[in-house]
Amino acid sequence: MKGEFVEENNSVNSNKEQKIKEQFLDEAFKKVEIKHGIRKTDEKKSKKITYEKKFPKLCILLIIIAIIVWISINYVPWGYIKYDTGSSEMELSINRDFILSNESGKAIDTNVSKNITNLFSKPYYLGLSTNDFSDTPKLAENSIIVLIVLCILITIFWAIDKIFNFSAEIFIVVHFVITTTVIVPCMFIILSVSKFVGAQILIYYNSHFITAKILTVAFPVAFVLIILGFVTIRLIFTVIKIDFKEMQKLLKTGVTETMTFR
Amino acid sequence: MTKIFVERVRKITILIFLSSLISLIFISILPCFAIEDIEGNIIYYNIESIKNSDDKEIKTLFETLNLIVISNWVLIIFTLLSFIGTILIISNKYSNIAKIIMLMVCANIIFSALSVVLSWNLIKSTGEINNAHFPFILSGIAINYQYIPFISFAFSLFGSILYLIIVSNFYFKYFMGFKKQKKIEKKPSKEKKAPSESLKQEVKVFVNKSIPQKTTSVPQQPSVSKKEESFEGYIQEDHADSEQYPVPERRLQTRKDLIPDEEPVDVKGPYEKPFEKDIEPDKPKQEEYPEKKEQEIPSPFEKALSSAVEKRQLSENKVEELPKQSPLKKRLSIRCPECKNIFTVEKEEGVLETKIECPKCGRKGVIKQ
Repeated sequence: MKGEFVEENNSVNSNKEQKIKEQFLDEAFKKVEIKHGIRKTDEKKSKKITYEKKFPKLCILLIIIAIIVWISINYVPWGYIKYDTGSSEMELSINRDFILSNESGKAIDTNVSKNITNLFSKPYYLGLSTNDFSDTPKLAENSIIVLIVLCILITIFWAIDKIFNFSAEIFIVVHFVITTTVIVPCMFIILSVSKFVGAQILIYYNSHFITAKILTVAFPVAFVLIILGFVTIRLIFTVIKIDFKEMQKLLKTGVTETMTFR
Repeated sequence: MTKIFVERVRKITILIFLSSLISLIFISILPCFAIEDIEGNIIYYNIESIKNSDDKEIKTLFETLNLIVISNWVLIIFTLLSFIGTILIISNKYSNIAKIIMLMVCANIIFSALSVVLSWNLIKSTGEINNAHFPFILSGIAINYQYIPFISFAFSLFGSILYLIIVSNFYFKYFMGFKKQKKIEKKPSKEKKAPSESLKQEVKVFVNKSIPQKTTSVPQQPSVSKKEESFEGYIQEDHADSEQYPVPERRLQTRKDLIPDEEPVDVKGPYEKPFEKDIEPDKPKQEEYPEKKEQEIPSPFEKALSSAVEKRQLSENKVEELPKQSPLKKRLSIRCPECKNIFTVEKEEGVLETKIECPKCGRKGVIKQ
């Protein structure tokens, strides 16, 4: 059998060729996908759980922190003093605004209250003044307000997201930025309260200069707030880590998507 | 690469943050210096107790401490910014903002170095004040309280140096890579612009010549021009195949079978038969090919694509032809030994001997399997 080439219409030929070219390219891509395992990633992509925009738990965390801080500011004594009157020992607690109260409910001797007020009137020996007892709670309260504002911001953003449906990346980034900002009021709380701890150390060193017969001095709120501040920072770091992981997951899927279409 | 970078940066940022936070707490808690009074008693002071002092030397001490506190706060804000920068890097969005933030945060080395220097100055200047003592943890143990924040400053400085090295190294590599990419992109775009259009045309011609094949049962002597076209097409195609893809076996057979021209009877497959015309090309036509090849050099991709298209069309032809041919019959082109006429004969498979007769001269013969 002998063959010969027969000239065809160029337009028909070119259309055919074009179609065949396209088919071939499609098949070639499929083959490449099979060879390089892109198909597998596609399967993974299909299996992958998409990022669910849940209500941020950080809000609940912030509200809990704010409530605890507020309770500890108002109901836990800022100072606790064991005073030796000579005949007996007296346990005194100092509330915010430097109001002295007796634990046993007995009336406080004027001399005792004078001595204690004198102790905190000059901050030379302890680094703590009576003003600090009123200023620090205010600062802590302001920090609580900041925490609540941040909480509201997250909630508003979550509500807006329900309407506008932002991308997962934007949602995580905004959540992350607000979470990071929470560290600042926490630090304010810790540092404003740390002077009370410093005062306790100075009392130990400068006790021979204190004329009043003070047996023990403690600042419970300061310790509570410092511990709370550190716990909050630790929790925020956990939230940050979770956000990082979520974002990295999104990044992984993003890479496969771009690879598929390259 | 980015993941490792982000992970390292995150760890270093945590180190800087914690060290500056601890140093801030130490500064506000621990006594910063001590003074011996006339009686020989030592009074310890911390940052809060020297806040309202009238003494000049003590005031300078307080200012130094205040500067340390401010620089530490700046460090903390920078670390928070660094966290935001890292999440922006991971998100692949706002990458420019992320770059600016990360490079800006590199300035934390200035503040950490400043706090180290100031802390060292504080230790030095404390010794110069009259009646001043270092605030020792216990009177008997010579461990200065001032060294504790100093150590944490040193940690933050170490972290800042690491941060600077890692971030600058990453972005230096990134910018270098970016420049290289730009250069690479520029080069082929210049090269491609000119040949791509000519190649397209060339491929079109090439495909048109080589692909559309139709078989005729008993062809007469083909015209010279058609011979040329077919021959060129197949040589080009084979050339294209040889670069990237293996040549199909059948086509190789046709190329090999071009040599035994003088044999009286050629038995070939159905797809080799069209090429049999090409068996007898004129020599000058063969010589023309290299010149054309020099003129029209298709790109490897275009060659591969065209060869693939050709294969596809051949396979389609095959599909079209297969129903026409009975599976048991085989078409053979036979040359008459007497009149040299070439004609086709259908030979049934499995039959040992088939009697044939030349349609031109009438010579009879037998085809043996």
